[in-house]
Amino acid sequence: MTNENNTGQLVDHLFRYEYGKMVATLSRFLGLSHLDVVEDLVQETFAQALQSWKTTKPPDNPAAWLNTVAKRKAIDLIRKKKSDKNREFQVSLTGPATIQIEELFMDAEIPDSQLRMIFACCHPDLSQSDQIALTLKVVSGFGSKEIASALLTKTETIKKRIQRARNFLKSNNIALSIPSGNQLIKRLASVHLALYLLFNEGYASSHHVDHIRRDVCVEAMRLCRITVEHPVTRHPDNMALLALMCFHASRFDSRLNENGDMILLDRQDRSLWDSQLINIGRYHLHLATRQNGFSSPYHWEAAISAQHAAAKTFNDTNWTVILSCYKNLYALKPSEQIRLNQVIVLLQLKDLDKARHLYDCIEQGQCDATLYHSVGAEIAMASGNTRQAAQQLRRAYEATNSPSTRKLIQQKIDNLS
Amino acid sequence: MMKDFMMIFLGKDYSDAGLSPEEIQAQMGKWFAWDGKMREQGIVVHGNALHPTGKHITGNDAVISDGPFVEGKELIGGYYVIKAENIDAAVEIAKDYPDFDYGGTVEVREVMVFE
Repeated sequence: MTNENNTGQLVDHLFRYEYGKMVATLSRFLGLSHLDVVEDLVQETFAQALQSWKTTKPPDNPAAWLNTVAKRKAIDLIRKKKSDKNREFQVSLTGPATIQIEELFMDAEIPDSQLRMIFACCHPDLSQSDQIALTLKVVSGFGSKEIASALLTKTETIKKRIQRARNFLKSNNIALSIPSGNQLIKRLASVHLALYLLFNEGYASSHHVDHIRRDVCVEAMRLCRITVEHPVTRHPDNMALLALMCFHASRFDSRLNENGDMILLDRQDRSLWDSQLINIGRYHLHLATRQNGFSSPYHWEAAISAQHAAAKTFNDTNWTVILSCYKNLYALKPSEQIRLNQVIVLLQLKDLDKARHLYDCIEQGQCDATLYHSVGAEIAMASGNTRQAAQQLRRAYEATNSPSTRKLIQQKIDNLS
Repeated sequence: MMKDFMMIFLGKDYSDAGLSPEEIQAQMGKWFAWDGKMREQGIVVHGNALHPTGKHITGNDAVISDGPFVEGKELIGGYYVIKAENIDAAVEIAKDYPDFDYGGTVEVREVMVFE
């Protein structure tokens, strides 16, 4: 077979990016209630591109070609529907279609259209899992199968979520607009949370790692940047969120060994950390705190991540500052998971009594079971109770399905004996 | 003595294949790679893709109807005319056809030469 990585003269992910851009743009033209029609139209455009470029070669400007063909298809569709007796389509087309299609395809309008689409997909009345599936499909141009593999779900489940979300948009007449006034803050918070969860889905360490998961992180960052760069949506929270994503993403290359196994923070080769991303993170965290200081959980999470990024070695980590960040984070967003992280920090600070005391207060069912038992094992070890440590590690082992996490725990068990 | 062979590609329309944007791009990459390989070997005489729709003219009265002509699976999507030693060599080339994954078929036929 031929080399599968050779994508000819096309930029990586070109089609995926163009899909999101074209769907957002054409939905403004045809109306969000025709999202399914728009997606089919873009899909047809791509199929046509594949068909006509494959035996020749792509045009000099492939994106322009795609846009032109899609535009023509949209205009044809309107002409055809207008002559049809399809009243439903006719009536609903009179509104958005009055916007000139040429204007919508101008470069300056694209981020605006995409932002509108992000707001629609992250509508607070949709469940978070539906928001994420729809965003990845419609804004980011992922296929159902790709979304399923990134979210470790079945393709059928993803298809159902997307269909349900599309129906919701249609039956509730959700407008493709940037909210204003009181609505803006509420809707923006919903977008931030969805992007935060989207990034975490891609980054989650307990799952097997795959290139598609990294793509999800990059995509979450791209969408977050759209919110930061738009004058209406620019907000300390999305700047802090972008900073947080940058700090985490800077460690991509150091998180896995050559076998694809996870490497924990204390063992990572910090020279592999992406200093450029760390600087972008710092810059945005600075902007995010300039007016109101550390005003959201994203700010504190970013601050914690910034501390790790600043430490040249694991031993240089300033755990005292990190502990106070966790306390502030807990005050804004109380969760057992955050308290568990505080225990980890207390152990690093060798404050065994406080660590044990806080650990005993934590409700086990409210946090990640593997981490809970692993931390329990650390406390037992620090207290010199090897038997209990082994017991806890075995529970931690049982609580996860991830081969790389299991491997790490097994190593710890082996080291005990 | 090299002869001309036509490779005819049969399959369903890509828009029915349910490919994601990324898959379409990957598929295109395979086609570019195959095309590039054949052109490097200097064996391509020409190649073209065909629109999925057209006109169908048949019978004594030359009745005209609209395509698509046959149900999905056997739609002719395009062709290459290539140079090869013999039919076996041409078949060898056709084995790199990228659309087998999507249920596509290649028909290899020698171009007739009248002297």
